[in-house]
Amino acid sequence: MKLTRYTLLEKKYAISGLLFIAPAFIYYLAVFFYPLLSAIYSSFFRVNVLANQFTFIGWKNYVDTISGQDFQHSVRVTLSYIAMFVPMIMIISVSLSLFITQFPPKVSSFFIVIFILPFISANVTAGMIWNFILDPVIGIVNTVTGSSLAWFRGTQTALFSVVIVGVWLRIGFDVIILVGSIKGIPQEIYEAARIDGAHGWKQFFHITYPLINPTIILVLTLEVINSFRVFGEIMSTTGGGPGGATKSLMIHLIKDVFPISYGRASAISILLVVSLIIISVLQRLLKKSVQY
Amino acid sequence: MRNLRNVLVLLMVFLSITTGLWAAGQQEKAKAPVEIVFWSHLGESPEFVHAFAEKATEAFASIGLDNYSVKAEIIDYSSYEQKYLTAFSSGKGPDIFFGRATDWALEYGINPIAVPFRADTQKVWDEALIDFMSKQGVIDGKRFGIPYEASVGQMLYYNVDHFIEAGLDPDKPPTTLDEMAEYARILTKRDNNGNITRGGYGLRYLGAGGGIWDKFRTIYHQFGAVALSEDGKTANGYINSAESLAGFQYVYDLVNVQKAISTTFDMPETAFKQGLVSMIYREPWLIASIAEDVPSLNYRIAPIAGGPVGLVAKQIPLDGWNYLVNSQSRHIEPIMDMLIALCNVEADIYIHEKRQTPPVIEAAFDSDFVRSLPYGNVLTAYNDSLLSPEYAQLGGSQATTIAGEEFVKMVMGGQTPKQAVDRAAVRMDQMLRTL
Repeated sequence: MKLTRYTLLEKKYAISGLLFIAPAFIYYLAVFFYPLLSAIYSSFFRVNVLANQFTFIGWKNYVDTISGQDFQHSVRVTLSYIAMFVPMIMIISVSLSLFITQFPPKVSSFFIVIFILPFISANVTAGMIWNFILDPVIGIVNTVTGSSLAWFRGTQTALFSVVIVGVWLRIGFDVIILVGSIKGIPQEIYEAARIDGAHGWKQFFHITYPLINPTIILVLTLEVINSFRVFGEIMSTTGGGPGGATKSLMIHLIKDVFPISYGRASAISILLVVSLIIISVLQRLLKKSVQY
Repeated sequence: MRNLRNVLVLLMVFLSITTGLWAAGQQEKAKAPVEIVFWSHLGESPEFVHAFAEKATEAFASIGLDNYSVKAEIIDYSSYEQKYLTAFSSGKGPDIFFGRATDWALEYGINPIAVPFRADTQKVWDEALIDFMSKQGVIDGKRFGIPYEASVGQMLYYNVDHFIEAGLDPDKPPTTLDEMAEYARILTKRDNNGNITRGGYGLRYLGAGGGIWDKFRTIYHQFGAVALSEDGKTANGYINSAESLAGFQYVYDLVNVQKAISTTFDMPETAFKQGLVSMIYREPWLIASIAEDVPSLNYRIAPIAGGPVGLVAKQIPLDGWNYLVNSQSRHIEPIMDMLIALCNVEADIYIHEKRQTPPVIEAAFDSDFVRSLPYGNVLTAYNDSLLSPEYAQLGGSQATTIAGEEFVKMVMGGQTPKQAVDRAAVRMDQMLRTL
């Protein structure tokens, strides 16, 4: 068949396109896809990394992991973290976003810069700073308020203290996304609502919230996914303690399992990936159901 | 014929020049600087770490390898295992590293990477080490490492001013656990709200479970308890034995009965330096740290308090820390030669002066340095004492780390001593079964 000039052009553009995305795709394969396949493979073996020994053991790594008390505890801690972190960050970020958009662009941009600063700082730095702020003896919070809360050093307070650090770190990221979404709402809708007598909370519930709901769902999903992987803020503050009170899934994986069983560490990683895929699918279904 | 002669002459000249150039290149290669990388996680004693590197470099020079130098790098303790493992896996690990032989020894360790010493190197160190340290770093008759100090384990540090203020005689520190509990109660001070402002005893409850266990076992073993079976494969029946429960109960009572322990203070050595606690257990390295940070602190050192079994336990853990050699290193043979040269009293004393800890070579014990150590009384008391149980088996350190975690939960009020030992037994056995 003789190719038309149009088809030849399409082919040319297609090849050019492939060439342009090839570097990123190769990077994706090398950094994500290959390690994922490697982890799936390793999860079915007893692996001695340094001796390069692989002994096939089937599902044993998964069975040992799921039945292990340490894994179950780390899942409970992670879920507890999510249960505290996600509502807190959603409420604060939505509130802050609504507050910021009341101001002229230059002022709102200034606020955004302030809130994004923690997001671009290193987790380790944040941990060190908050260790000082929340030190039970010399920390500024207890000194000013007269409180005797143990914060990072109490089994009852450590996880909540880590949540505070997490919210501080992530708030800027969520605010940027939400502010962009709020600013994308046509002002004519608000004008029309004002003419009809709708003000304040009515505008929020009947205009703002429905229109930014997909964005809220997106932010919610991102934060849930991020919470499952919480690591840096815990490692730099409590290290998983005291007494395992903040030992999240990733802390358990890195500190307890990785040094002694690479195969089991791989199994935990795969279980985590599967969980996050399920959450992403749920997010898509939820987004479809609430789209206006 | 003439042409042939000319060709032969030219060939010989060419060969001479080429050979000369090649030889010069080899000589240049031989003299190229070689950097031996040494990793240690003793961040609290950087001078000690660098002193080892310094003396190791001198040892290389003394055997004619003056192009060799040792570069020390300090790794954070809390994640050292992960960093080591990642580095070794990628082939970028250090040549010499600080670790437990039982974790890293080839053929024996969980992550086998440390090479056994060459026969002559082992012989030199086996003969030189002080007797009670001679088995550390040795597995099945093979030496994998050199102990980093003649460990006396924990010692009792106590604040003399606090003793005097509380009406206690600083010349009579507690010698039994019952005395220590009573002293701790007397030394504790509280504010109007009942919060402890000065703890009678500073307990280690922060940080990694392994470090927590390390300090707790000083008390724990006094009750005749042992955390694992002799083969290291079983915790049930050991960590939850009656003796073990007694050890956990003792600390639980210190928190809840004598109410002498604060669970809001920082690490015990930091709190001790701040004057927030009156007594702690810590190793000899703290002396140099106090001298640097709080030279005016009025304190003394005594042997640890004895327990019901009459055991003045000397902590000589076979699962202790050693200088190990990476089997992936391209310089194993020169390192083995260097280690032989490093085995001398002068280097041993120089290194340990930085940390105020006992040297490891027997001949170094008869020195002004050892005689000047402020805990000579402890060394004497420990000299003939019984050895405490050790956990040198495969997975031993990981299992006792779990025990340390359950211990902290108990200290923080999250469970009773019985719950702590029972949960520790289950978790430890689960972990050991995966090895």
